[in-house]
Amino acid sequence: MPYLYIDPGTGSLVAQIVIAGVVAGWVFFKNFFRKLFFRKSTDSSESGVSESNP
Amino acid sequence: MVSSPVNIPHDFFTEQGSFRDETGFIFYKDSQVFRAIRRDKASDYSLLMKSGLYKELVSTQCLISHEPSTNSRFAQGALSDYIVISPKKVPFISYPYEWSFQQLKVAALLTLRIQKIALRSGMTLKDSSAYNVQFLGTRPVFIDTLSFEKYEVGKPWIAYRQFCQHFLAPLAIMHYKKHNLSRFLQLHIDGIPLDIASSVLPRRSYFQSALAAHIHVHAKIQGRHATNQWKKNNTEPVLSKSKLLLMIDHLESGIKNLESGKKLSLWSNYEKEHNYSNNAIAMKAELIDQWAKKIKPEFTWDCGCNTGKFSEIAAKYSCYTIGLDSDANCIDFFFGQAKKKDVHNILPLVFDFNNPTPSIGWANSERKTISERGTADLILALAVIHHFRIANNVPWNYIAQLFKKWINPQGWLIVEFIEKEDSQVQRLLSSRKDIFADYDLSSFLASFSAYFDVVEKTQLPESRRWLCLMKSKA
Repeated sequence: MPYLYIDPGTGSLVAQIVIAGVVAGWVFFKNFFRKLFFRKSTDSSESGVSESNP
Repeated sequence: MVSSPVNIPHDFFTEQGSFRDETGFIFYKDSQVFRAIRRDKASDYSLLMKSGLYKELVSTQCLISHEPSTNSRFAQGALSDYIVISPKKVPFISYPYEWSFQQLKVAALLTLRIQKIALRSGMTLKDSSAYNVQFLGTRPVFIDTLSFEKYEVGKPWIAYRQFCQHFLAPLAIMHYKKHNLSRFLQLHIDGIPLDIASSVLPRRSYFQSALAAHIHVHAKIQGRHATNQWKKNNTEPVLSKSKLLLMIDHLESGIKNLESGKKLSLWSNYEKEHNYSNNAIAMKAELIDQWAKKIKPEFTWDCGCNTGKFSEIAAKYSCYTIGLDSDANCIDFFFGQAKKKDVHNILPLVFDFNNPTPSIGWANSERKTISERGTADLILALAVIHHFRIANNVPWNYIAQLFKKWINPQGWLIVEFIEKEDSQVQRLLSSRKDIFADYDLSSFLASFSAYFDVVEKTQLPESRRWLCLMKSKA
């Protein structure tokens, strides 16, 4: 029964590091673009305020 | 029987399912539960208590509370090497393969919430078995005080695979396939292997990022590295805490996105589609209310509870009520309703009477049958025995024996008998030969009278249904 010697835990640790890295990268880019758009919308609203209140 | 890890007093007995953890074990005496913790391995337990994590988890109702045991008998003999604590008793132990989709989902979210709180306090869960979660009514609670260990910076979450196998995989399968597939967990006591889950799930599950990552990619990498012996190499895998927390958030949002499949089933519509009048239902509800009020049971088991209408009536007078039904959709609906009403003394469970939960695991004694986990003071068997007798050909005396086994020696049974002429019984008979010559009220009562005294029997108005109150014979 050679399958009894297979260690599923090792592969899982490798998977965890790969998956956590990808998830972290994905969240980083998601937040980066969100901030980018958020700043843009803030900038436009700020500019709108400044235009209405010269 | 598996013997205890140490010699405990002869009038105490060990929980057969707690042998895996080398740091301690559970044992019982009467209705009290004790947990023994090895003094030489108690550093993680001490950290749990001193770090404020225990206090935080108990105050947020995430973790079961415990008291130090004051029993002087534990200070002598082999148990003197152990710290003995007495956790609050869970009224009825249930298993993940008896839970509906929503129950498994809330248990999964609780485990992740605990892991996040633990990481903030410098600890981590060393195992994330679904068996570590129990229900106090509809509220999930983590019961394993010894599952916490000190978090070492850079160390990956050792219980990650177990979490995916015990929670994510079955939830995903139930989401995409059938709602009643939590029974898969009965076959795989340590959760559904990820390669099996990955092969069972449809291709569209790849578009759910949590399932793509934590099941499909996880299974593939696991398969590729299965024969590597990383632990023996010098380089230890490193995962920063921030990445670990992001991964847990990702798991959490993935699980929140999973929903139960079909909302309604034949039985969850039954309440609306039944064939008897409002007068008959009112009378049935009134009699159950009246009888349960008189009996005041500690434990009520509602066998064939459907969506829990009558369980809720009995629960008004019972300390704890368990609703059992083979239909996972009914139980999911029942659980959802009870949770909304914040009912804490009703536990709905998926239970197939024709093929009940067996004892499984090592020596067939890790996880127990229902009768090994408790007895009922009152059993409700409402409009259910005709299914046993006709749909499964179970003889009357077998049905009576089963209830007798489940009821405590002074217990009560409220059973509804439906005559053969009733349209629901006719529906059952429509597709099979009527070989049930003894299907009548007198034969039913004669068989049950061997085990129970018939205290009262009433015919429900405008129906061919009888409600009988029976008391277990000494």
